[in-house]
Amino acid sequence: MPAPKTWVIAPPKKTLVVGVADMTASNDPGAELVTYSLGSCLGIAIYDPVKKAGGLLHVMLPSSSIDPDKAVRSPFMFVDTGVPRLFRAVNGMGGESRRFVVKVAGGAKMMDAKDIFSIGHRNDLKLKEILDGAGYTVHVRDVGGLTYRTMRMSMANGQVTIQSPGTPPYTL
Amino acid sequence: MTAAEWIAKARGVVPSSDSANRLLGLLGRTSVSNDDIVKIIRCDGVLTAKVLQVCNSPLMGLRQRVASVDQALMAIGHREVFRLVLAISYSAAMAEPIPGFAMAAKEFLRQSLATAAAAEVVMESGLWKGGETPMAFTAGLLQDIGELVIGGALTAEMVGSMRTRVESGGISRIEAEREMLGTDHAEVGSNLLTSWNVPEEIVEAVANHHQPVVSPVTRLSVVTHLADCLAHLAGGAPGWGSYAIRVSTPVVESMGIDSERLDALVIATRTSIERMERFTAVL
Repeated sequence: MPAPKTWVIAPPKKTLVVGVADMTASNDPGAELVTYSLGSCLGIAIYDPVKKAGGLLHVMLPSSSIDPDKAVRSPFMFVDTGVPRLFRAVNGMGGESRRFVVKVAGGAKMMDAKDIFSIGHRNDLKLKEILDGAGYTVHVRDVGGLTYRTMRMSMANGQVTIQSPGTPPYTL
Repeated sequence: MTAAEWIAKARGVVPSSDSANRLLGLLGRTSVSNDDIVKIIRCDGVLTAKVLQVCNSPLMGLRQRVASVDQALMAIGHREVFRLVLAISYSAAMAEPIPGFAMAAKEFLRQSLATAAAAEVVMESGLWKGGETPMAFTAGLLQDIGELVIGGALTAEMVGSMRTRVESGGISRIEAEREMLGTDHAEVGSNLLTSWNVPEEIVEAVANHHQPVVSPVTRLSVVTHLADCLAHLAGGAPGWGSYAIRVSTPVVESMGIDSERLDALVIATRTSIERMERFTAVL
């Protein structure tokens, strides 16, 4: 039986949760990717609007050189090992790199006079270095600040929404 | 309102646990036997049932069914039972949402367990050698307990004003609490724990976790301060303005923390938090 054109009760939305130090890619237009607890971590979303394929990555630290063994077991923990895998995963679903829309959120910053605890800023710098090196630009970003964020991406159109505690969600 | 008045207002919101308090009393002793722990848990039927329930949950991955507290101690060990009893004892109050800080149900519990896990990581890193790991775990678990008291009583106007001070005024969240309320969650929490007769070291660590004591000797608050920061950086920081924490420069300098050492601590904390999430899933 074909699906009705107008649903009386909408079918449930498939929510794919991306954990900390994790990545999920999808080409299912009925799905939504979501990651919680973005503090100093970065959420990086890429989307190909033609193929409706995209992915969401939640990285914690800038560089895998601090613990290469950990990077083998958990490559999505680090910006330098996670980002290339995110792009490859979406390429593998037919996404074309030249069409990718890149959106970034997170990178909250503590009040540290010595700036050692600003992991969010270091994550952001490493991401810029990697994307610049590969010829990509970030289309839109919500990085920094004092609070954590939840980031969602609709696989129907690549729309990304951000929500922080006690504030309404907004479209990035 | 003073810290004592906040606590009086909060009676029943954060109930003390006799079993947990008696267990904490063991921390000051030079030697603790399995019998000491078993005696305390056995006297509390609800606690015993919960310990067995958690031990027998698939998440714990035990091959054999655990039917008694003695068996639980044999199966998962002294330290894990201690962690479990504390987590169970405070989980009901800590799992409640805290509207004043925009924390959803269970977020505060997760954050408290994450901080406790981070405190163990600091102890195991050898950065501080002044005390015992179970003491640090307990201090980490309880360090923000004052937020339960304050966060449940803040009005919408108070929250709005505090948020403006933090987001536009460049002050930390605890500084905004002090400006607005005349006290803060560290003072309220430490007063509450004093009224429960919790060991003095833990009370100090809770009272000073935003202004850790490094001189003339470093105290346990150094560990709770660092654990607080690590738990945030390793993927959990619920509530509005949660990153409005002032990192203590004396702690950073006295412990010799640079960005490499910090990143290694964050990785270890993340691993420890993932272990701890077994508890949160069952509680």
